[in-house]
Amino acid sequence: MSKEQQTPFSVWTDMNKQMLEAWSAWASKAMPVLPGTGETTEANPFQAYYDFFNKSFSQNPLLSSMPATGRDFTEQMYKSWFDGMKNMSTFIPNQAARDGFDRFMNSFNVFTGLQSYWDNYLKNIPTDMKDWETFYKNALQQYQDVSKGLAMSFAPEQMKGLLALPQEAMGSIQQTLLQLFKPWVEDSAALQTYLQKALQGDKDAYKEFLDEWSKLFKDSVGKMLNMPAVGANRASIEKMMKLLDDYVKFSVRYGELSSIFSTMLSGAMEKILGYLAELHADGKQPQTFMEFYSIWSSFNEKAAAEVYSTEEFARIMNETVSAGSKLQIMYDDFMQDLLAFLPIPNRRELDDVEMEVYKLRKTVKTLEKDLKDVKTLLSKMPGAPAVSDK
Amino acid sequence: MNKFNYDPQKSIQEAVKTTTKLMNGLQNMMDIEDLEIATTPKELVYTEDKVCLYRCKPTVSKPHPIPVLVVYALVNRQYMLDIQENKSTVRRWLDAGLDVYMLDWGYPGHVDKYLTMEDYIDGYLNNAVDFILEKHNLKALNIIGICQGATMSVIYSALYAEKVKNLVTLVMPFDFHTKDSLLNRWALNMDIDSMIGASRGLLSGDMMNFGYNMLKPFELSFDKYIYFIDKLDDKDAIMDFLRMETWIYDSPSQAGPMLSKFVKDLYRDNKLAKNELELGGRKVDLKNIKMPVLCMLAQKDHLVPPASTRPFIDAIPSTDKELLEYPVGHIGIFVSTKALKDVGPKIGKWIKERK
Repeated sequence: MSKEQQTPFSVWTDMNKQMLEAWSAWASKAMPVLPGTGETTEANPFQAYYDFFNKSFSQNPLLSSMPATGRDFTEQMYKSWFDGMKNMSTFIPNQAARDGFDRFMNSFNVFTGLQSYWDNYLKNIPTDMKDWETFYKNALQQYQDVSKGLAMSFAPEQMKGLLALPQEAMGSIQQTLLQLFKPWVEDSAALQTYLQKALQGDKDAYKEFLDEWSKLFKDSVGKMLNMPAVGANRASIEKMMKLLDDYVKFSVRYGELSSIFSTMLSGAMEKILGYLAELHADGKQPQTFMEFYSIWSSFNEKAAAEVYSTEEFARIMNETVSAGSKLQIMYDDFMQDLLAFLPIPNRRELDDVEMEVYKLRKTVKTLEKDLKDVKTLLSKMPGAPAVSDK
Repeated sequence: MNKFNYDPQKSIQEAVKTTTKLMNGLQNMMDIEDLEIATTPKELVYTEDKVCLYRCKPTVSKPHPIPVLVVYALVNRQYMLDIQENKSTVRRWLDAGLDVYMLDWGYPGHVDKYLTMEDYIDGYLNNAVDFILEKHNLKALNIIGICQGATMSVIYSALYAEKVKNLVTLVMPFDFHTKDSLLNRWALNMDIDSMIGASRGLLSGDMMNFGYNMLKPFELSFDKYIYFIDKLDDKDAIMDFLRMETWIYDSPSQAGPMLSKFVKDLYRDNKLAKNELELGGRKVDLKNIKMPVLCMLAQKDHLVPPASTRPFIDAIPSTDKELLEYPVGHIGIFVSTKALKDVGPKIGKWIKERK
């Protein structure tokens, strides 16, 4: 390709291909940290790649807008590549191909996170059996980061939007909820026990805690939030309080559902680690990451099928969806009130117009049909004049 | 090779290979301008609001005199039957000598969000049937119903039996209380009206797809893509894959009242299988289904399990009825090589034998 024919995309892909060749060349010579032995190679495994990457950036002005590498080179390198691929995919002309490629990249992102986990797992496999328990615990702990957000990674935008607040502001919400829980916790021995266990990572206790607390909440503050307000802004105040009540209800339900998914994923990982230990003992452990991925995927799919088939899951999922939907309805209603002051039609008003259109359309169709029948009858009458179809 | 027998070089090469494949995939996808879906020639013959009726161009000089109306589900698009030239069920039917009409329900927008089951069955479906009958000067035609479209076709056949010469159902949910379906279990206590309300009266196709993908979360959200990375060098394979992806994610939104009745009366209360369903104040009596019926199901169907379809055959009084089972999945019955060879021609032969 001549220089004149170069586009940012062609330069970018060529560069990445050359980088991969450099990486490949290094991989055939160098050996990274040997798992379990602590032995290291002298050479910096990423040096060749790093040098090439920097050189490419400094020499090609077209790439100057690409994200720069940071201190954590490998992470930044992957992020740069991943973001680059996502950005480049916007140039795919066909919408379906573009959407399809985005889904590839989303899966690949999860795949890569899992690959890092797997590499780390291999690096830390203990040589001594007495260290196995600690290793096992750490491996499970580290998996929490990989599995975080896994369930929601393919959720539709509408659902992500509803969940964005709880996910983005999880820290402050936890604090707020802890403050919110405080008065009830102080007065309930059962809540104290559940909370103590939950904070130590007991997911069942967490669910019990939420159940117990939501019952107590409903009978106390919940009643206040639902009681009639008075004064000039009565309707708005009632709606705001209802919105808060719906938000609390949804957060509790969502917490329960997340806890189920989290237990499901960590339970599956426990089984996977146990299975890997068995394979190690028999000398049949996975040879490549893909082999590990296949085990990971099938164990998780089986775990999901088991959890999904329970009555409890169906109940909690439906309660969460219902609470989320009610929160969304309440939120929309509240927003419509705010928008009502603006000189533009809001959704509520459009709904009325659309209902009218629906009714009118039906009326017109009925009349058209009646007219056709009348014309047919007329045309069959003896001596009737010809009737136009139009 | 270390003492755990793990080969890091092999893993690195694997990672390099995967990354290279993804980049080749990106490059290949840049070249795609048209996926060429639903290429069977057809003519738009009737429209009503957003619903369109197409007549596929016959491939034989003298097609069967009684046309076939294909009624697809509302939750996906009918072009699954014509996904690509060498995997087109419609072409098989045309080649078998059938005169094929296809109903396209369109994409309901906010102006359509008040549509009821009556609007769909007594309105759009019945009007399309009347149009075809008038055009061919007939009293009855053949109906092929697919998935939810098959359930709707059964309801239609019970209400308008005189207009249905033969009824064919494919992968039809009928008994909604079978325990081997996750969808059935989940829908039992689903707060569908709140869900519709939260979607401003029109439940989005994305939400529906998320629910379907949840049934097999790892296979459908990860494995499918990860294992396909290996084929990203192959342009034809990419085209096949993307056609299917396009279809899967091309899900129209669902009008609130229609969906609400479908979930509450069928999924929750199982009224059709109990012969208790009513539509527009009339009983949908399965005893009216006396016309010949061919019922086909997919044994590996995770969306409509075989147990959901099988009871249909015993629930109708028709004396000319047949149940056929294929060892494929919900989509495989239309696109798998074996099914394409068997299902399309079988339907063609069955209909032609019942002039």
